[in-house]
Amino acid sequence: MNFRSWLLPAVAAIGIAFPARGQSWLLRFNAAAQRVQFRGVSADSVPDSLVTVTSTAGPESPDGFAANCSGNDFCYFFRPGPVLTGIPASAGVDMSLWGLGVQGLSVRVSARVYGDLSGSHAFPGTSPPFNLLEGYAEYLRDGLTVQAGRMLERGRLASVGTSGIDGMRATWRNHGDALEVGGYAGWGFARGTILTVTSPAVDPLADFQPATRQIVVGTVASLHLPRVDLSTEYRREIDPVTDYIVAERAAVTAQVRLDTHLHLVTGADYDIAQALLGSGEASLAYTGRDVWVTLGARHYRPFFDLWTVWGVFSPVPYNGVTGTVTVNPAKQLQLSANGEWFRYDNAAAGTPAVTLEDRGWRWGVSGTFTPRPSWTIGVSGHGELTPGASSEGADVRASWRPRDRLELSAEGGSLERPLELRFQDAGVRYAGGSADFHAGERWRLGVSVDRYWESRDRPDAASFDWNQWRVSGRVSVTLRSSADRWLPPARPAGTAP
Amino acid sequence: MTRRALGIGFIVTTSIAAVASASVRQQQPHFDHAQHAKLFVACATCHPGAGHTGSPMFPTAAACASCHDGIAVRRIAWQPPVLPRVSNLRFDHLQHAAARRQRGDTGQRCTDCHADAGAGWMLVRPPRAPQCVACHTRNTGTHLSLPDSACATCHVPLARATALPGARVAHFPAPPSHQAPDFMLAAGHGAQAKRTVGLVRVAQSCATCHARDFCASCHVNAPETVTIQALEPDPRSLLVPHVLKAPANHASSDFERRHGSLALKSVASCRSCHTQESCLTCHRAELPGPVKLLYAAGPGRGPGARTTRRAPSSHTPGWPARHGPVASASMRSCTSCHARQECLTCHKPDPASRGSYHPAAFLTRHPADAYSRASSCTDCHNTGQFCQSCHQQSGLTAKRTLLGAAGYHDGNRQFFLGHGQAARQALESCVSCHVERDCLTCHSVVRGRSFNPHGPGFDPVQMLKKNPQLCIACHGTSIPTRRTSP
Repeated sequence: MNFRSWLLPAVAAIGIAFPARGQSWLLRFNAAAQRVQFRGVSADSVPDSLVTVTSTAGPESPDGFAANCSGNDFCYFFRPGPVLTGIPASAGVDMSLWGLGVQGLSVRVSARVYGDLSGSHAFPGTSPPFNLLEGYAEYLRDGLTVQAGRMLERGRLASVGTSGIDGMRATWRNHGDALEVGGYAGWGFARGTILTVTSPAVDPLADFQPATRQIVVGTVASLHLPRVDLSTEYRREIDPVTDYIVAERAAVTAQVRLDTHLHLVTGADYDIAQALLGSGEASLAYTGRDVWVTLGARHYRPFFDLWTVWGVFSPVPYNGVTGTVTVNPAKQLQLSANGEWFRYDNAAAGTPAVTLEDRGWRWGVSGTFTPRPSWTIGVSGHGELTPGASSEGADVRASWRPRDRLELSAEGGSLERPLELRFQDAGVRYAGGSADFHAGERWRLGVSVDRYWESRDRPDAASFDWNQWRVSGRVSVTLRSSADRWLPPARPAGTAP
Repeated sequence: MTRRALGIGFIVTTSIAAVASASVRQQQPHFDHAQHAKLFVACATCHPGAGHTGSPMFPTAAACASCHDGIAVRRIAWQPPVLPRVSNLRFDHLQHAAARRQRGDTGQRCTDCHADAGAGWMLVRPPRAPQCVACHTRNTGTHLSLPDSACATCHVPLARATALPGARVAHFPAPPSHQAPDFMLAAGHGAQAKRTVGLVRVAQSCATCHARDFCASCHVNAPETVTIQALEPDPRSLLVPHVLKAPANHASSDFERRHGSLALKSVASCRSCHTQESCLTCHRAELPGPVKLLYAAGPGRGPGARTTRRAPSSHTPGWPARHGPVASASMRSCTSCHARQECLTCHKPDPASRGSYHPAAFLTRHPADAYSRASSCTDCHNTGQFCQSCHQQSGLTAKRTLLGAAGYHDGNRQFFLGHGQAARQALESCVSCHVERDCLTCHSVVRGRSFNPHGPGFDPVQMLKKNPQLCIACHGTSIPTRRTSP
């Protein structure tokens, strides 16, 4: 951990310990832990002289595992791996400070510590042990917002919560608030995490790794009209050592309110560096009183930074059409269905030796029954018949809220998941329950216990069954200064307090 | 023993007597007029004050005791009332009588108001409003249908009717005018309260039933409103039944979307009922401009309208799966109700939390979702930190023995020879187990077997221009420069 990682938390802590006149703060602690297990495979080999060839399953190891013999002296196969148990745990703090003597100035810090109580670090994401997610100062004045420090980004080109920069951002809104323009610059992070590209945690397989962080610059312009919200973004990431482009993209998103009940949402991004259309989608939504319908289309193309070679393998996009419909046939009943059909562009890499699906579809149905305000019963089913892997399953869940602050739930379901490229039909059934308790706005507690029964069906000895208990607990507490007093509970206008 | 018993009996008896005495003093015995009908021939015998200035309105205890002496007739505990009259009427017998005389009405009798027409002698009762109204309007109106400016003619303000019990205040009838559709608006009761009819301010009539406390329970701008401050305070006014109804425009389907611009145009209207706190029910993240012009809740200011946080019409079922593009297009709309922390509940993967984004059993299901990207995994998960590290633990990563390890994809024995299509369709899944050097074993000019990996859409010129390092990795310094792939 470097000096910068400590600086803002230290400043914030001092600020709380020695509050200035009029200082206000919001502090939220949270902690969570869960026990999970999973079981993979373990590669093994056997001299080809020991392999027997059966009439139905091909080469087999002496103990019955299907083996792959490639013409050298050994055949390879995979045994069921050991059951791995992990108890990942995290504790975080989110803090906002304002009223620091300069009107419009505030400070925000969010940090987390991670660990694995089992010591195994089997579950991903538990290292490094400390991560400063946010730590920035913000100044607002007359439509101008300036932020400096480590901040999370938002927008089409940067996912909320998993993308950020160490740098500065400035945004200006005009007086009527219709136009918003801004820009940012700083050092970026690896894709999908608030860790730098130089962190060992993002390179577990010792692949090529950049030696320095990329420099990020970007602009955002938004227009907000009564019927239209339009936003455009441009973002460029540069390797500071070579001065080469790591990524260069632009995006546009729009929401058009055609009518009170009819909305069109559309957006697309363009990979300038590779001169390719990225992902895009358009969705037309009808929102009636008891009927909601959505029709849409989407185009998905994976995106890779240019300091990996993956982009040159020409991943092909797929195009799909989507639809959802939800109806309320009765006051206590809601039914919903959704579906998507998609097809990959021609990969231009097919061979007679291997036949692969290039299209697929998904479906889902669900029903929610609320016999009483304190009871909710939900049933759902889903299916994915897609290239590579498919799944079908059903779930049921019942929730009971005996008090406003307490919710008890029980759920269960089953799932079948065949793979296309490997002999393995995985099945899982599960049942469990959870309890969530909100002690006012301040304390939130939750605990869940689930039992999973899993099986991996194969025609050889590699099939296995295994079961596990999954247990999780979470707690959060929010503290505030008196200057930002607790809000009164909301109630309908006209009812007695 | 006997003395002691006597002492105890004395104390008990004395205590009971004292309590009973106090009770009698507090509960004025009801005078049965009809029972005394044969004794009195004129009202003024007992109520001289109704006709003569300076005379008492009620008989003294001594006057009653002249008969109720305890010998001929039992003694009674009568005392003339000393407390304020239990009424909110602005009525003076002498003034009323004088006014009638001025109009030449000399035949006035007490029973005109205190008895039903044709009732027997001393079958009296308190006067009723319809009687007053019948005379004063010549039978053209009823009590509650009189103009709102007329109440103060007969009634004192509630705050002055100090003896009126709360139970009676709670049952004050509402005039029909109060039921008008726009009565709750500023153009309704607000404008009415500011009007003057002749020399009479309507607000004086409002004060018959209402006091400052009543108005302040809805009007959070009561401390700044002259009309309300002109009323006297009286907590009994809160007992008058009242419901703070939202104006009709609040019920329109697009009110949530339009209320911001409406507030900009007429924030004064909003701050009649809303404090900043009622906006904070939804606007938790940042305060829009008009909200800052509202009053903050605090001592001396009523709670006003309380708002309920509800989802806008766009948040239909399935919204969580569709909100991404909308959030990108209009993040400001989102931030007006949602604090960043709410977004980060899902958009900040935490290995220690039981996921709320993915459905149950997702660990088993995820290959199907990931292979064809039901949603973009890499938006939230780093391939190396999340996918590769877990697959590494599970024995699912390649270990530089590609040819042998090809046995993993045993769904098709020839997969190794025909993996190109699968790779181009789901390269992100490949990357979750394989690293670059796995592929460059074959797909590299300088370190591999020169199998060309480039496919549809590949633009070598563009790639070379943006980042020649990529080209060098496989081609060394002999980078082909023609536009088509080598």
